Amino acid sequence: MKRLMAFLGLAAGLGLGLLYAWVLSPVEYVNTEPASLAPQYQAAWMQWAAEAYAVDGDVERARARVAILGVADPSRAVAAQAQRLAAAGGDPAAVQALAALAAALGAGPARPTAAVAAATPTPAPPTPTLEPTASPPPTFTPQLLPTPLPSPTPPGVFAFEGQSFACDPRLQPPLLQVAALDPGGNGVAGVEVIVEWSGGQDRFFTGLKPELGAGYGDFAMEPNVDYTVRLASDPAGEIAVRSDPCSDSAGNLIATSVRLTFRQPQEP
Amino acid sequence: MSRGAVITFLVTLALGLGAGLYIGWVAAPVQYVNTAPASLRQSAKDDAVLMIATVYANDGDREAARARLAELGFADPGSAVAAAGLRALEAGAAEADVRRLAGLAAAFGPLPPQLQPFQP
Repeated sequence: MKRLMAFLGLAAGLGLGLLYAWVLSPVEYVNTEPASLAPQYQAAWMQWAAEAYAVDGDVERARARVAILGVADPSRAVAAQAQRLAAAGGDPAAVQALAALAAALGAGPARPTAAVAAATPTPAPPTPTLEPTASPPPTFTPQLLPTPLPSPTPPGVFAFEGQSFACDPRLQPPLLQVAALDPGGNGVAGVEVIVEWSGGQDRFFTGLKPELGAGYGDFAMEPNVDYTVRLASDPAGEIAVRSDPCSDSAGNLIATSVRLTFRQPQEP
Repeated sequence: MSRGAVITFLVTLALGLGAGLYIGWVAAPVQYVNTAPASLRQSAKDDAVLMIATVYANDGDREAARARLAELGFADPGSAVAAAGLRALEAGAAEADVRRLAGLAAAFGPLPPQLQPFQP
């Protein structure tokens, strides 16, 4: 009898507890933290933070807004979202805003791109230099420097400054590297680069690898394929690029990586 | 029913309740995941409203702002943004922030008198 009553008591106790918890006073999600938001809302929050940063230029506020989502590395989280959005064919302006924020969070403050900065009061803290640091620095030998554009380029537009090549076994598959610089030589994040080849097209943005500099972006090339590269902001500025075979210092035949540099002209 | 059986029942009832509370509050407390913005604490909502107002101050896209505010669960965006503006004002927020909030609130309806000096 006692065993039966003990069992009944436990069952009734648990039953009452569940009745209270699930029916009479069910859990209400109130006063939750941004870190508990569903992934799609976290993405929206991050996008809002990036777009607000593009306007107010307050990198520390933006950092706090991203960090409150509970991400370990705000810069990488924002860059990852920018890459996801770019891969999904998202709004380039939204990607640019994210890229600019990723660069600002990861490599020190950076300027949003011209498109975003057009309405930006000005985040103007010192900008980082472009030199990659996290990956082995390739040795580029300047070659075939182009002639500068003959006429002054409108503010906010980039002029193609030159290309260089690297025969570096650490850069395999060969990379198309792009450096977007402001007039002072500082990296500019969020610059959209379009790459086309026979039967295909892709695009990428600078600033999505903040550890390599705000103005850095790259694309893995296939050897011996002819590519046409241009900035989205300059449809006419096509540059032919190709990864030809080369011999590295050990005499091995590898594919050449190419680095293109674009710079904003000095404003008059 | 014997008195002993009743006592056993009551004791085990209490033990069952205690076990349930221990499990619910200590061993396996509720984890808030996959929540919606509407459930955010007020200060986080206010910051979200400020982000939306900051973007609106730049692009002037009222419908985009309305859609974003709807994600926060605001059926009446004007009063929600105005309330956020009043809280910002009361908390001594930067004037630029109050102006942005006032600007967005004004896009959805009349401003409270306290915010009218901040209307862009």
